[in-house]
Amino acid sequence: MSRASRLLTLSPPAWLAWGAVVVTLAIGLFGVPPDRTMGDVFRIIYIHVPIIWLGFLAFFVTMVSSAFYLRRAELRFDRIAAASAEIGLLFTGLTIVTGSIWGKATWGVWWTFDPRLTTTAILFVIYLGYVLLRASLVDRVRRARISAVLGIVGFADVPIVHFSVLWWSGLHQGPTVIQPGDPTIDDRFLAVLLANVVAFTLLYLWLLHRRVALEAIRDRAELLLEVGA
Amino acid sequence: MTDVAFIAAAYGAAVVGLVGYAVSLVQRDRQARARSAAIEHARDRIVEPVVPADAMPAEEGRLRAIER
Amino acid sequence: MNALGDAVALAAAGLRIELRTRAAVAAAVTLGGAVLFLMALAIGPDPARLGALAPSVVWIALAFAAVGISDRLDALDRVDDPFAGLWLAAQDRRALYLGKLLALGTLLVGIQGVLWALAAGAVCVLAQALVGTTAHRALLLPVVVLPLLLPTLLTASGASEALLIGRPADALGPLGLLAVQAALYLGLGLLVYEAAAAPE
Repeated sequence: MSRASRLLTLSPPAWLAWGAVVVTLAIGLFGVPPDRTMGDVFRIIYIHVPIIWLGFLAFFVTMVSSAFYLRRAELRFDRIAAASAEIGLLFTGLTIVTGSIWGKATWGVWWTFDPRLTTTAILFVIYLGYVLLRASLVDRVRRARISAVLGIVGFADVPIVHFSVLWWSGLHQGPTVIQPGDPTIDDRFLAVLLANVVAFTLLYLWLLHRRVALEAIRDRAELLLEVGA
Repeated sequence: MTDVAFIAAAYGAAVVGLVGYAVSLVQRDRQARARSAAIEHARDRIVEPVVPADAMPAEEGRLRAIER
Repeated sequence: MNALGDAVALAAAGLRIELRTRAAVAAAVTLGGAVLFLMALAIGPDPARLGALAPSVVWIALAFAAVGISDRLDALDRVDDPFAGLWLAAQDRRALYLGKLLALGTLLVGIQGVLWALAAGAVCVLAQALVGTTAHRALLLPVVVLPLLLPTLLTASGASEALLIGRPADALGPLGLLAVQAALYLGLGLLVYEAAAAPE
């Protein structure tokens, strides 16, 4: 097995991944004081930001794995790309939901065409397209190839989406509201936030490992059917 | 809605999403393994037919033909 | 024959067929018109609201029209599968991408402006290759194309707005962004088209 694919399928044990998430979230909920301006609602940051981070990481992994597939034509790279895209879609969806709740709490609205929310929504639909397209392709090799192309193009679109939305929303919105995740964050909060990011990264790796394994079993079954026929 | 309600909603949604996905993974894994095992079993049966100990020669010949 | 020559020949063939059948323009007018009409209905009769939203609505209609035109042009290559022949005959397969882009772009330019035509065309041709002959391509094509086109929509709409309200200087920013998008989509398309469109 190549070094690259071995690296991408390292998995922490379940107890570590889930345990870390539980512990760091608990610290965020009970172990630190509330924010001076936002109050307790600020604690949503400890779940919202790590989830955004993992969403982007997942799509990045899909892009890299897709590129590897196009170069090496090894199905394991396609499995990793597809698995990561599905997990990324989950995380992006959760980003929108938690962000929407936070938005209601701080701005009083469930949705606004804030650059970050809009970019995330567009990203969600792009990868929804990836998953749907993949589901419609029957031939294994063709599915891998087409998914790989979309996996690369989808992520390459991210900076474009970001800049156009930033420009467009700046044109239409009034004075900026205080964004969640203000960079001038207290050191203690930052430490807890980083701890949560690490914990969620472990969880991502565990989910990725399980999802790739599932894909491998399905591939084997398909192969058996082909050979037996 | 109070602050606690918002926090509960956000954390709750995230937990439900993550745990729900993990559970679905486990279920799909189980289904896939079962399907894979069934396919293998069916394949093995075709390749190696079960020949009864007291099979008549004619039947044995027919079974051999299928094997080939 | 070099790649560019191949591309031009392919584009010319596509455009000639389109001139004869006018299928793509028909699709554009129908689809674009339908979207325009429905959106105007949804927005309501208030002239102030309609006026404010007009540029965005027009660009949305143009986006759907672009998808429709792209689909009609691509359908020509699927009847009796001349595409397989093209694939085998082409020395540089990026010529196929360029040829299709030239044909689609020319049609789009007729209605929709150069940069938009380039950006939208680049995305549509690639998406057509990806969706290919899958079972639900009619549904999948807009699902794949429109999210990728959204940024282009936003900037194009903004540029038109600036031009319409008589502030051309404000249009320079979005036009620049549009140019960058067009260049990026074109570059990506050239890079990955062969992997996307290979017949199986």
